[in-house]
Amino acid sequence: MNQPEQHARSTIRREPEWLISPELPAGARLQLNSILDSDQLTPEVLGLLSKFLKEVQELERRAPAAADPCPKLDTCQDYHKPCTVLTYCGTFSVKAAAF
Amino acid sequence: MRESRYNIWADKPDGAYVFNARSGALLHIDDDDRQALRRFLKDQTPGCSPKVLASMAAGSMLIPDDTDELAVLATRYAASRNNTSRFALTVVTSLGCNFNCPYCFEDKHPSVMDDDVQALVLECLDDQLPRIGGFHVTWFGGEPLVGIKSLLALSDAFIERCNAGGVGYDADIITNGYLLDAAICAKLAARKVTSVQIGLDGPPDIHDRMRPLVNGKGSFNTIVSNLHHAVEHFSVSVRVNIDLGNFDRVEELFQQLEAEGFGGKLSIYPGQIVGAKDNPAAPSAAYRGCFANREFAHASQSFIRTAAQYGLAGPGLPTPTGAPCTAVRANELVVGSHGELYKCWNSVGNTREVVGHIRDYKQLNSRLTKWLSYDPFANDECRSCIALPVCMGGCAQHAFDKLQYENRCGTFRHTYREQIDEFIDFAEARGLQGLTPVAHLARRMETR
Repeated sequence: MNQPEQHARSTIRREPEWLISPELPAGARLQLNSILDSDQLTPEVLGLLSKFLKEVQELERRAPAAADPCPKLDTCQDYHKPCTVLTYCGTFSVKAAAF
Repeated sequence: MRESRYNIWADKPDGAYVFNARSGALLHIDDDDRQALRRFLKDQTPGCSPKVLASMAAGSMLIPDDTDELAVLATRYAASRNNTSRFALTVVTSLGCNFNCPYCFEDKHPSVMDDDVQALVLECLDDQLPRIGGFHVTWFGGEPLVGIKSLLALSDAFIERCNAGGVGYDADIITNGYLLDAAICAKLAARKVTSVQIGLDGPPDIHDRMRPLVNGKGSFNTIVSNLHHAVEHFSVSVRVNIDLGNFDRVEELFQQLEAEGFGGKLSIYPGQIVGAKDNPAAPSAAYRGCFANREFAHASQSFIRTAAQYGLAGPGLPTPTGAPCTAVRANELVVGSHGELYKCWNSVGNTREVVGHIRDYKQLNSRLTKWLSYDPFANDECRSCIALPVCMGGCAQHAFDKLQYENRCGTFRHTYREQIDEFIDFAEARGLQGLTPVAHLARRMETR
């Protein structure tokens, strides 16, 4: 065996779609279609484009919630730091002091 | 609004392409539209096509001015690392191996997973089942097929439990291929093994020198014979570990595989041999003649280009990722044949990297910390690297090792322009148009 995981194209697991490319909500799809159907970049179309970009931005912000992280994550003081006993998943022992 | 920092432009005779590493999307823009886009982004000059702007927005190539793309990626990384909706185990059914490769990073000895350890693995899965949607297993070694009895027994138990719990299950295997005969292929396929990685390091004389059996005899012919069975059952990926000693002979391997009729039936890719010294007892600690990381990236391009001529590979682009591997994902573990636990595949057999034991997997030791605290966003090189969205810090194990630090990177960092150019040339011949997620395009190519 030698460095099996790095560059192993067939065996690296793909990330779920919701993480890389979250599905657009109906409103955002409508905005996108309206822009695509437009021939000219009018102020109205530009406004739709700005709204659409904001929708995508918000979508990317919310997407990680689908990872089903620790229910205490919102209040965790150590969010973005590693949970050294994997407390958030409930699988490993919960050290109450960590929260 | 502005362009994403992860846009990579490639000029072509009939316009330009833009690839976005954060979304993995690729878009063709003709020259007039590109000029209009430049003017629009500079001072909002009208005249830019709404279709171009909409396509770029959908591909994350155009973003709001206040978007912090590093923060978006950091959130993606954390979500992937902390994703508890899936569970994955890499299971070493046998640390012992029937091969004696001089570059192996494992200090191997005969050791097959016994019934007691298997029972503990199942207890661990039982704990997870109520909260997960998917369970993935990678069968690993040593050589996993030396431990075929425990592999089959565990597979049956995994499938039964996942079926009962309504949890998805799939598996892959990394094997040297020597024991992968027709009967074993059928047994694995019946147990939801869907993809196989097999090593072939060159034409027969080279391969047999680099991947000999423990008795010193060659393994090439048996592996190629087994490949004929494997391609009937699995998605087969042939890994060619390359270094300065075998790279100039790989085309002979391609020729032989093509002559055997494997064109279009499997994919082949290069692996980087590194002289890892973190486990002094492993053969790799004394191995010489490896490519430096940047050299390997360029050799890989040449490798893929040549393999494509034989129908064994196609130019591809990496897809965006979160946390890239088991080592840095919280809900994934590597289970050794004795039940000892690791975080990284490369640590298997290295007692100094054991993070706990499956019997007591809820109490892992402090070695876990370094893996789950690996943070590419604290590294200035990574933060400024165009490849960050597709590698997310690369190999953490190498990043921890001063001697291997540069080898943490994937090839995209060094050859992204060549990779994109060659992919586009390949795709244009197949009628690429509009906004096309690269992964989808690649899948369409594979079916041709």
